[in-house]
Amino acid sequence: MASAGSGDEKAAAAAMITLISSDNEKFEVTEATATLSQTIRHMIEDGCTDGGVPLPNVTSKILARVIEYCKKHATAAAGEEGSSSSFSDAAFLEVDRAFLEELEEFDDAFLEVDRATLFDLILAANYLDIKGLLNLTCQKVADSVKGKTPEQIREMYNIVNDLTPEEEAEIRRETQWAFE
Amino acid sequence: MAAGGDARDWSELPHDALSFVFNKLDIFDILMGAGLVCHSWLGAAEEPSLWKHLDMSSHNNVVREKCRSGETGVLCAMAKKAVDRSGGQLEVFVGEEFVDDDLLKYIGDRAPSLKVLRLTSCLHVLNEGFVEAIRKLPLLEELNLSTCKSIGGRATFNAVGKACVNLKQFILVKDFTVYGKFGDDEAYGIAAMHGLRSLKITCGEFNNKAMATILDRCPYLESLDLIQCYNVVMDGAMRAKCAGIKMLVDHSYTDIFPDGRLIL
Repeated sequence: MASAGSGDEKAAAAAMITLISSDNEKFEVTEATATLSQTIRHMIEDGCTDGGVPLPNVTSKILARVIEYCKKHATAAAGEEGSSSSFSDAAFLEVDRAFLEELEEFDDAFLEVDRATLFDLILAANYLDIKGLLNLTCQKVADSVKGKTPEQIREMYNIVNDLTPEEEAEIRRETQWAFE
Repeated sequence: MAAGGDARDWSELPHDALSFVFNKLDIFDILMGAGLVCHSWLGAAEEPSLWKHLDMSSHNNVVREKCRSGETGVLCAMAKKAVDRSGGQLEVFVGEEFVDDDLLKYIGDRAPSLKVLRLTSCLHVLNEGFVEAIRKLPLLEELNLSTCKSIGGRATFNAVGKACVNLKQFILVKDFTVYGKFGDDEAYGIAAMHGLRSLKITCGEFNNKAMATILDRCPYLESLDLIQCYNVVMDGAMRAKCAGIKMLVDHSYTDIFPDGRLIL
């Protein structure tokens, strides 16, 4: 993976950003990694990242996972860019496919988390505005509720049915198919 | 994945994230499951932008099962609910045999932004109901009528051409069982769809003269597929008329009709 290496080197030369979790842990990451978050990208553009970026909504446990995701995806993006100039088209496609496969494997392994962590990752991805991570985590939730009844979903996610009797009656009237 | 260790309240998932999840579900998952879980999930399920594309084709298991068990009324009721939730933003409707005049009228009355309408084997939609609905869909860009045996004829297609001035793609798939039912002058109705870029006809009854009329009246035509349209003969004059159009003419049965049908 020569191209991935060159991506790393390129990234290493770039500016570093310090992210500070809600429990005050500091994480130093490259700008390429940090700017996968649109929220942080805007902060950098506005020049308010000196002294670190406080993220009061994200714990160190979750921030570490988020950074792991961003690092992988930023490296892949940089590797792809780097490879386009130094490989022939066929070789480039080959590398491209290898990257995609590797990323897919990474994403699958990344999602092997308990529901509480999944929930926290969604909140973090939403707050930090990381499209890829939000997409990935929400897909997992979507896949898990496909073909399930409301009651099964409530059980799976510990959700209390807080619909008022009136709402429930209206739903039953309008959407009787769900209860047949 | 122990549920016991999960202290998170999933009903408090932010609205944006919930919308993301719901965007990945089909209408049946939302209407029969996830959208009925609790107050906040119901709220996310009512977001009009979720309901712009309504695909109720038989690729979906629920559609297939309900059609098989004769519960077409349930499918129509769900389609209406989905149309309601779209709040007038419905852009794509794909329906199969369960669709009837009443549902199509419902869509016509509530989906002024509809761009794509694909109907397959909708035997219960008759010409009159179809035309009434189509008149209310002025923004339609793509119309696909596949084996809808009760829809057809010159007047009907003429009405489509008049009502849907943005129509760019028309696909008409018939079979030999409707041969003669609507007359062989359908092509003159299709010729009223002046803005067509792409036209695909299977089992058309029309001849070269009628085909020439379509080509004359639809000057923007870029792509033309004629499948089993055995009365169109690709002679020199027809080839000249079709110059510049990407074309596929089905050549099956050339042993029976040796004079024309060629892949160009």
